[in-house]
Amino acid sequence: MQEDKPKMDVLQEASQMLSEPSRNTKRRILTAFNFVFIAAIVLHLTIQLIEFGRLPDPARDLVLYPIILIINSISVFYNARVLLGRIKPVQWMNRFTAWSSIGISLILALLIVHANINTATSILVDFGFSVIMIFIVGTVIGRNAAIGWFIISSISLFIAYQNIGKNFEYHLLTNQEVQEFKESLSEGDPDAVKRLEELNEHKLAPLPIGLFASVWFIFMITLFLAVYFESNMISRVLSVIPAVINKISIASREKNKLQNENMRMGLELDVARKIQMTLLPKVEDYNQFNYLEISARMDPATEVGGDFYEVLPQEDESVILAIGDVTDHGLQSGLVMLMVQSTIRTILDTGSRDVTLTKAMNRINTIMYRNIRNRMQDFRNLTMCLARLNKNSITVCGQHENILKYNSSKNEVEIIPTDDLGIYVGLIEDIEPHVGELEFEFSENDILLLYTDGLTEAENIEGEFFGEERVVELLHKHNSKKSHEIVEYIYNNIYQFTGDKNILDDISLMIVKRKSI
Amino acid sequence: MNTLNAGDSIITYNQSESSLTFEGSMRLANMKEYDVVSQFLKTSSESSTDTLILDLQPLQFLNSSGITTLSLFILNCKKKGNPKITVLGNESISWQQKSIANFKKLWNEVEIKI
Repeated sequence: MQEDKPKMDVLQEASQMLSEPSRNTKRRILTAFNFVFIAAIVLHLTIQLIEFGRLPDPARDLVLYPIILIINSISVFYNARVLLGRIKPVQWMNRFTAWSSIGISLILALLIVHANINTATSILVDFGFSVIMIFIVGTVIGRNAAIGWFIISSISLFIAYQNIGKNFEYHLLTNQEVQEFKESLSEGDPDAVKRLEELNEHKLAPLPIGLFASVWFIFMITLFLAVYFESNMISRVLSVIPAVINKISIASREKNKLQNENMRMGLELDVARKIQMTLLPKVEDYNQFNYLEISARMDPATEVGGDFYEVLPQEDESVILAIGDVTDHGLQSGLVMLMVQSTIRTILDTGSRDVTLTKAMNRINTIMYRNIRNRMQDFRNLTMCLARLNKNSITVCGQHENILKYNSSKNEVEIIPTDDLGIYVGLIEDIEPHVGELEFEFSENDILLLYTDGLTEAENIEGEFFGEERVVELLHKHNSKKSHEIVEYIYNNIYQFTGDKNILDDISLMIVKRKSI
Repeated sequence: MNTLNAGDSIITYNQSESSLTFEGSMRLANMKEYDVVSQFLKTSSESSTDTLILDLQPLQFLNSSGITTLSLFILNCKKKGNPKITVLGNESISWQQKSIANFKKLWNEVEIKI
């Protein structure tokens, strides 16, 4: 099974290179934060159980710790699997894990300052968690969240300061003084016991320095991991910048190239349109004989197609008509059209009574084949119909669209297929076995209508074709009008039908009316 | 089964049945855009033995550049002598009514089934 993968342009590549390093940074920081949090709490509970044989006070920890463990475990389980590429990220899970992990941590940050077993250490150590969280909130959630948390933690600090009282001071003891106090306590010295009771009452129980050191160590790891992933992202972004600049300059060159190409194509189209329009016969060529009234019109598509028509009055008062459509669009098709026109004129101009249409068609084909295939190295070809109009008959040759004839005696439009009268011109060197002629009557007030497929395949906004049936109806309806009026009626109808839709192919139409003389 | 998406159309090559089925409406802008179709036809024909079926019945529209592409493919098979081509057509579709018989004119051994 082949699949067409959408090709990324260089600017998209550059943008992806720049965004790639930062793509998972937030997730990495959050996952590391979750891990540290889980490890710290498990460690804390284990130490408590080993040291004191019971879970810690106050009761807040017994409610908060299980919630913290559950939320952080869910977040790790989800984000780690996303980072390992096992699952695809889900927007709501991203939000849930980030906000719940950070939210519960902020609640803890406030509680460890304000609902602490030791008032003095809550400002001295536990408030450090609020400080770290400014950075974590900023990187995982965003700048506004960090500003919000900064304000909340400032207020929290101010309240803690007010609660402990501005006269409170930290008085530190030397190792020897600590040792003496412990000894007095163990000897049951009433002063020492009373002192300890007072300290406990004021939530100022002495704590070992190891506890402070381990808490700071956990804070350090938390901050270190966040900074590690953040700075790693910055250095990775910086490292791809030269490659990104290179991509952007390639994109800029491509854009210039495209602009030049568009300009060149625009000029080519102008030239093609000029070739096409210049070579069409002028109105004065049409009506040199009083028994015929000829009108023709060609409206080129936005990107010029290869339609053409020709009217060549003959010395014997017959008229040669040609109508055709070169495949493809643009200058090359214009060139093919130019060659066809010249060849037709060379072979069938004025005194060509002795040249049959079949012979002319074969000659034109061979010349076109040799020029297009051998000289232009191209595969363009054309469908073309040649017609010789006499006073009472028409001979046609070549495979093209159906020919429509309004038969005035029967008051009906006849459809004359040309499928058996030829094949594509210029595609193979010899088409003689496939070319034929057809002769039919052309009496007074009869009308001949020749068109190219741009007319029947003109599309409206729903993608529906104008179709041959509508042309037949219009020809029948307007048979009493002059040929140029019929042309106008048909074109007006087409444009009413297509509406705002662009014309995708040239639209050509020839109407010949046999006048009564 | 190999498939090729070409604008609003899909070409499917079924190797076991040695058939190429064209569906949808094929109106690529120019011959250059049809290069990918030519290449797909060429590759498919190389792996098909004896007779290749071109099933055009579900192809609602084919523009003149597309007809040229198919014609050149048939001329190429004619030049090599293989594979033989059978074209399945639908005469109620106007472009087929008009153009499908031409494939036999290009190579007499092409079999047309309508």
